[in-house]
Amino acid sequence: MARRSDWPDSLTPAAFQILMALADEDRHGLGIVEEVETRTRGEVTLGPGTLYGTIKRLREAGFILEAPGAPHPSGEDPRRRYYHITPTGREALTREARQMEIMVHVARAKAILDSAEGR
Amino acid sequence: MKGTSLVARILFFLYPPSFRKEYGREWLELARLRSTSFLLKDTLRMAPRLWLDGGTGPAVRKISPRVSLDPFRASAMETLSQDIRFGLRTLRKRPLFALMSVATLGLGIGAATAIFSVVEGVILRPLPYERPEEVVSAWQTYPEWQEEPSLAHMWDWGYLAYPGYERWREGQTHFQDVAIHATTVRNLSGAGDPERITVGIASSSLFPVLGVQPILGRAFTAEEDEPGTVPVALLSYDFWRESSGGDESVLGTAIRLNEDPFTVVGVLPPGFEFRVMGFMGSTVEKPVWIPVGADGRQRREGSHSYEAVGRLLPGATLEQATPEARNLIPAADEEEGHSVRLVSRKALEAGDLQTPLFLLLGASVVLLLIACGNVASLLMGELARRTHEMATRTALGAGRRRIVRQLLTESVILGLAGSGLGVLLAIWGTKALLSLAPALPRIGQVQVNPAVLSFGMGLGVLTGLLFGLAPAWALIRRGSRESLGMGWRSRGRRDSGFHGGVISVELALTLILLVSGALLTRSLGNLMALDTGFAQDGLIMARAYLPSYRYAESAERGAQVGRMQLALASVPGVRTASGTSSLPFFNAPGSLSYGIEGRPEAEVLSPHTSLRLVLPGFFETMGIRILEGRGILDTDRAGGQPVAVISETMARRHWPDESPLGARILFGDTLEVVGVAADVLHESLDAEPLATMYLPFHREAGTSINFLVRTDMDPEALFPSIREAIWSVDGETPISRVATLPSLIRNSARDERFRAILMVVFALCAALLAGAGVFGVTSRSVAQRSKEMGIRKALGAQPAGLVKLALSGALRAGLVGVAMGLLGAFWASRLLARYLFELQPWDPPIYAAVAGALLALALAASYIPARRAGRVPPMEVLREE
Repeated sequence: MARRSDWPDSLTPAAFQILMALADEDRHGLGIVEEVETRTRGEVTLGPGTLYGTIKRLREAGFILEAPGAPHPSGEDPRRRYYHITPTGREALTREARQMEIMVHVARAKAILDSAEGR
Repeated sequence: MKGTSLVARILFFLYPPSFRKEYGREWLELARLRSTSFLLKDTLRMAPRLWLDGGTGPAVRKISPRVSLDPFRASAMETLSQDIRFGLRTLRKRPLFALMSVATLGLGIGAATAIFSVVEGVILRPLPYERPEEVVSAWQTYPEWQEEPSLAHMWDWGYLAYPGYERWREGQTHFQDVAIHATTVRNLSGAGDPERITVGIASSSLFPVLGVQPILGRAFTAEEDEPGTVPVALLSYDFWRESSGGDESVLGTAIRLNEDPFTVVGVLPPGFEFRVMGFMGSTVEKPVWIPVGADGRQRREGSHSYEAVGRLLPGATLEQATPEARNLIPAADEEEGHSVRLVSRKALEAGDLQTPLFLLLGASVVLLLIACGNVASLLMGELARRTHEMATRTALGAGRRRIVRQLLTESVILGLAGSGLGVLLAIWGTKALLSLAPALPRIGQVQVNPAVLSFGMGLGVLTGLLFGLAPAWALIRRGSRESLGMGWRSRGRRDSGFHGGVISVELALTLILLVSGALLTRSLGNLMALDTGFAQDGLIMARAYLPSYRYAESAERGAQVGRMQLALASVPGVRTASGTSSLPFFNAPGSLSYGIEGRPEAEVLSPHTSLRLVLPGFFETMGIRILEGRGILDTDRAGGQPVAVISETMARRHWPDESPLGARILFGDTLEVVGVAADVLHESLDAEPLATMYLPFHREAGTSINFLVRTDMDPEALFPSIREAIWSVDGETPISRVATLPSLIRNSARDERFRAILMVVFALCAALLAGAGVFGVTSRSVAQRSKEMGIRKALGAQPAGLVKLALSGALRAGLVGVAMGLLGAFWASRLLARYLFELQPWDPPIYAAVAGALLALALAASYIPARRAGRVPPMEVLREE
């Protein structure tokens, strides 16, 4: 049976959440945290070590980069650093989401999850 | 928004400097929004990983589950099994290294655990009675005995007399209770073959004082302390199982001791052993115990025959209890200066074993440390060779963390394999030690037990982690950049000094052990090669008893013995049969006083003499040469002219210039000297021969006799026939021992043999380990200097020259080690001097031989890795840079 760690580019949960947060918009650290919390309805809370540690690694992996150019138009603190997901990062994110989709599909087929048709 | 808390600031500093610089501001900002406990968990999780991160490569792969985020916990196990598989694969690719590591560890752990088992069983295991630290024994002291050589060793080991015990028991205030015990020897019948056994005598208070309960039936009652009650007996657990197979209906049956019936009232628990200490003590297990009232011995003042013990009340001390004991125990008319001493019994039992056994334990721990040091060295050697591989892997994206973890896993695998082997060796080694060991107390209870097993395995895993961490730590600190570059190799010079030093010390220690082992072995050889004065091989001894309750008269016994001798002589396979009252070689010397006719002094008190009553044919059967005259003959029975045969030494003592034949000795009767026999050594092989007087057995037939049988057949095969022959004359004759003389003599040197073998085993283990150490260090040195070798080769150096270069380090370490070792051995061997027989501690041939052997070992062990130095392809090495 294939294991998650055998899948190429398998993401840590923190990495996944951060990339997800950056998928639609460049954000700074705090912004990422807020988005994740809102989206997961408080289920996922990122600590500063996890957040910035993962950001560091995502940068090293080339999945995100520090956003170039002007700060966010909403006039927030110019010192804040914004992060931007790269095409490579987007690819990794997509692959991860696809895997999850497959798993969900299988779970539905095995009646672990209720199917969309409400069987 | 709260200010950044102190805790947060502290936690912040747990992160690597580079991380703090890059993300510090943001971290602190977010930290303000989180609780302290959350921050703590978050930091403890992430900070170590960020420290371990170092290299390149996407480290976004999941390594292990995060508590608050991860629904899948399986990944830790997955990566672990991956690491294990990878580790095994790597080890398979380097079988020699893996084997050496496992063997080294196994040997070290095996030796350490085996010794520990013996030590633990004999000393550390609790004594088979409750809270032994509370039990105290009482001894009377007689200072003036120290003047008298034959009494000196007993001056403070005086037994108690019964009235003294009674006074103490009634008047004491510091003990829960006190008790007495003693031993005696009885002929057992009614339970298997007639046998002569040691019987324990106990007051009714003994078993309660010891906190020992019979597993069947009861112990003794207070009434049974008094003479005149129905005699009862307690059986030991082992005896009960052997004689009745563990039959519970044994209660109420009777056994016969010296023909008197004793009713069995109880069975003692397994493992119970309580021996009398002092000069009447023995390590013999007692199969039967009887109450004080059933033993016929005297109970009056002056008859000191009991060892007394007591259990202190909680909080009471020896010091408090002693003055009272001193008051109560001695008789009213006891002389001035006679006193009482109280001693912890636990200390007595472990007594003189403690130091040597703990030294042994220390030695085995040292062995283990050498083993661990060696394996660490081996690993370091491997690490150097794998630098290139690992640096490459790191450059290709493997996280440093991953590599470190794999190294650790490999080391743990080695550690577990090594300790597994060690456990097997420990089990075998313990069995081997036990079969050789002299009769240490409770040695029968020693076995490799779970505590020791886990000690061994824990050691193995701990060692795995420890020496797995060292190289891993080095890798973390150096970083992949350095590992790829020159930094790694150029450290070689610095490290090799240290490693060379370690090897030198190992070799020195090994030399000391080897010299000690050689000395002890040689000494044992000298001992065994001594001419005992009689022909051991093919000689069998059987000790039989003719108790006075069966044979009241000496003449009856003499006649019976004569018949038994005839019966023995007619056993097929027996060449000659004879007998003696005391076995040559094994009897203790005494003093005899006799007169010599025609000499002015009325009587001579002749020290260091022995008297032996022998059957006809004795000298022939024993193989003792008759130097003059004749031996004892059949015709020398009571009624004829009383005769005596004397030994060489005795002849020389009293008749230095003339033949003693015909002289007359006044010893009860007037004895005519009819022969002179060659000297026979007596026990412990290293003392002077005794002046011995041999008289015919029938003159004064005692109640015990040692029959002697000479055969050309396999002696052991004859044992049953010998017993049968004796029993054919009287089926109730207790036979306490049938053994060959060579085995008896071998047994008497058991202590020496045990010492020698133990030391040799230690030495061989140490030599093996030291050899492994040399191998490892040379490996490492060659690996680290491979660039240098490559350049030399490119510049035209011959392979042989390179090999010599590589060997030089080992040779240097070897010479230093041997030099240190010789000094150490010279000093250490003086500690051994009292164990050496006819051997000087400074014995040049032995020292030279051992030093040479060790140097040869060092060279041999370094040769294989050194050969690699000659084979380094220069282009490859240069290309690596």
